[in-house]
Amino acid sequence: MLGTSTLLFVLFHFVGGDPVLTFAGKNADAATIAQLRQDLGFSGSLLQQYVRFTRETFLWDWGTSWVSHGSVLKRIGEGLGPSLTITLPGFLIAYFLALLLAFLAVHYFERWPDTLLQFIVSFLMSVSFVVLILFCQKIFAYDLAWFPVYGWDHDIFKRWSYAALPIAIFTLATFPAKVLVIRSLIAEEIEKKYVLTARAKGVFTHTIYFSHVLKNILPGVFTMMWAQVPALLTGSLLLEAFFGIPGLGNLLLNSIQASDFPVVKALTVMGSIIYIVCVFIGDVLIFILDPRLESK
Amino acid sequence: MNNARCRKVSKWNIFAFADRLEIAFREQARNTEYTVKAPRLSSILMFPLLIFFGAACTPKNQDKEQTLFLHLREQLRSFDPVLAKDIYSQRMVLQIYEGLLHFNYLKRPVELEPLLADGMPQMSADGKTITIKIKHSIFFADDPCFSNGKGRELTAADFVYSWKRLADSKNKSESYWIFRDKIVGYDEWRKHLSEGKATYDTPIAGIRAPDKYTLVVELKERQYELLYLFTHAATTVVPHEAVEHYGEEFSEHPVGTGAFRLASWDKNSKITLVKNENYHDDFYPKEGAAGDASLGLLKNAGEKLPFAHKVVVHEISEEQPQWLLFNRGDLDLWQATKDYQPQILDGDHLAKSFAVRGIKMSLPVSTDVTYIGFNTENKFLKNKKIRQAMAMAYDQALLAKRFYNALVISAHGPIPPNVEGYRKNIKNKYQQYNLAEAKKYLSEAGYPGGKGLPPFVFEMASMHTTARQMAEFFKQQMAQLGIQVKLQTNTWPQFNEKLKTKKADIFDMAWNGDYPDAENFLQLFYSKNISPGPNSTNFSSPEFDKLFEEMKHTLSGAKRKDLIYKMEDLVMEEVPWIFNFHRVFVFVEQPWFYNFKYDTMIMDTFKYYRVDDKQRQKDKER
Repeated sequence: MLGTSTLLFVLFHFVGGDPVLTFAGKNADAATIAQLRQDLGFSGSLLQQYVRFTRETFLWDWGTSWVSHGSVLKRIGEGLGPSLTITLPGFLIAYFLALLLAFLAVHYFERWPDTLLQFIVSFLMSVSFVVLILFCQKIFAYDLAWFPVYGWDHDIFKRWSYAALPIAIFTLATFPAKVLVIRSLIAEEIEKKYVLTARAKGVFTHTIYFSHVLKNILPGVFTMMWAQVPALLTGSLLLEAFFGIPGLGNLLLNSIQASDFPVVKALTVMGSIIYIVCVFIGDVLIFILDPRLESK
Repeated sequence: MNNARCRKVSKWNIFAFADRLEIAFREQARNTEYTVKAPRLSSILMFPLLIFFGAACTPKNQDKEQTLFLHLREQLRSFDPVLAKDIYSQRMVLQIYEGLLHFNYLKRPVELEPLLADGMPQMSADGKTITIKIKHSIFFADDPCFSNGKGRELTAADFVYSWKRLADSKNKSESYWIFRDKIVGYDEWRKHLSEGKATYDTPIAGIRAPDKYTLVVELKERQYELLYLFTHAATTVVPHEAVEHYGEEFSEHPVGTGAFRLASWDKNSKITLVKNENYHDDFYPKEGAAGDASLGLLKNAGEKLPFAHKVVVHEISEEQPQWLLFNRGDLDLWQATKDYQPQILDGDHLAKSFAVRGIKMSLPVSTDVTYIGFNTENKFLKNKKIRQAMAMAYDQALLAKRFYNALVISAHGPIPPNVEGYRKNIKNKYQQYNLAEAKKYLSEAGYPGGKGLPPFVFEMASMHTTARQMAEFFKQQMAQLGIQVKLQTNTWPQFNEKLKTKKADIFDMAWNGDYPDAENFLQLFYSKNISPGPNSTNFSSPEFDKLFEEMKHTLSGAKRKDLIYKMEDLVMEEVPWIFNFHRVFVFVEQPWFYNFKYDTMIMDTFKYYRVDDKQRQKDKER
């Protein structure tokens, strides 16, 4: 946490340009800039600023937005729900779909359904995310009018009409890579002797797949899933901008554009800490879930 | 055998599932208030999991009566007047809050009119005292911040409070410059407040409310442009009850005297305004500029404002959703972005495919100027001949064609059209592309063929592709002279830091007018404003300064115009900037949308807009 905080302090102070000069605006004079530097907490030596920055990080004190003067934590809290509305279902569907298709691919290993699937998956992986968004928004929201082009509803039950297409795009963009990884996990597992024994004993294929192979690859899949959890919390910047989803991705983008330093700081520090915590919890959980690791 | 059976069963299951979903979908379409284009089976197979969210529906005929559907091209940052630093926030603030004055909606050049002031402000003979009468019976919108929830009457003391907020350094308002160095005691009060030696109860000598409806402003010296600033979003009036009641959330709970009040704000997505039932008497102008009547802009002359009961404003930063929503009729008005202009325009006319739909187009000129600035303190660039040579080697006609679809007005100086002092028919000889002459000037400067000159760094204000392409264009043009240019991309904060610390030698910029007065553009060459002030080229000329100071104290008229012309001639000759363009906006309106007229300076516009809901319904069905 100290390392993250230090790194971010260095980045904010030496890489991005002076935030006070930007915030001061085009008509500011030297006296206004000096006053603003003091009011924004950029006065004093670099060491004093660093101590203040680190203390705020450790105390989880994010202060108020420079742009709206509202509480940074409240603003982040407001964005979390919409972001998760898109990323969480998209994430779960992508894994469900990837598991199904990976089993299908392995079942037809190196036969035409497998080849076709690999072709589709590789194609989808090569399509840029922006192109996918532009295409789907134009075709499914505008031309076919199955979904609203843009918008959001705070009501958790009404928002799904707006969320559906972004979820679908998120799923489409994220499931192909997962298919390939899971496919290789299954292909490796299926070579093992217990599978051969089960087949020899006449156990149904679906029982082998879903009762035995699935159970054994799940810890690997779980590790992969857990590492992606922090990204779910920060939302999808592009999707949120194109569909008007008031999530954290949109918030981050606008805060950067508006030089809203406290919000950018909170989001980046929180994101880094959540990532570290998730990796740690993931490592612990994997031991609990996979008894084989304990015996090793 | 087992495998084959499994395959057969699973295939049957998928199709049965899809069929059931299709039936459910069609059933849903029949039984609900939604219109659904029922998807084909193949489509369902493509997106089977979407169906779980019951999502393929488009709301039908939500309450659209008397509703405007508009958009912001950037996300709204704040509804607090003192925090509204960008034009989008200012525009939204001015739908809810009001100031002493505003601009007549139709007259051009723009003309000041009283809004909350009861008549135009009265100036003393020496121009240092301004007395403003406030209209009686103006009420703030109803809000829980007031006792019993009813909006109370506006008084002159509310202006004193609101302008103190602007000076309060805790509010970190960028707009503090509006009254800085102008009002007696204002800067001192700010200083004392930040030092804890003053409170909001401490009076400011130069802002007084001698009675409930009178406001007196004492100036350090005559300031003609101050009246324009009484229209600015930052000088609008807020009730102290709302600031105290909502505290740090005040920027999300605006309470004003304007035509609308905020109903909801889904941040970064949608803002909904509704009519303020307490809105005072305000009427559509009875007179306009020449040609307004033929454009149908006077059909509602004298009618009570606002026309709309509800305004939905989508915050859309991406271009495609803006375009799709407009094309579908879900936006009443759209400022077409550069990439979509070729689809809309046929030359400078609306394309036939849009005209037949009844769509209307207007091409207003922005009160701005784009330019390439030279740091006149640079060892080489302080040589006027080099700047003149570079200006002459820069082919602006080609630039306009390549990057602006030729939809710009060439700028010969800093003052844009619609501002006093603009001269339509003059030519700046350094703006005429003439490579041979440019080479001659460079030789006269002592650097024939660019020999002896170091490579100059061209600082880009953004990392946007277009900005890079335009910088590349400049580089190519200068290469013809033998001058080497290195391109440097920057984020806006990096760029800004370079400007404010005099580290940007050549840069591209635009200046959007804060008010429609030549002073706002000419101050960019005033030596007292050099970096970190707004004079980013650090241009310094005693002659210019003398003229500028004289102009500031001269009332609008022939003498002032003459001073403006002299200053403009001086900067045209000195070339601290290569003057580029005054930008032209492309607005398209739906056939059911009326009373649209644009000027960068006029922002309290929603109350004038009118829609014909029946026509909208009919056109959209068609």
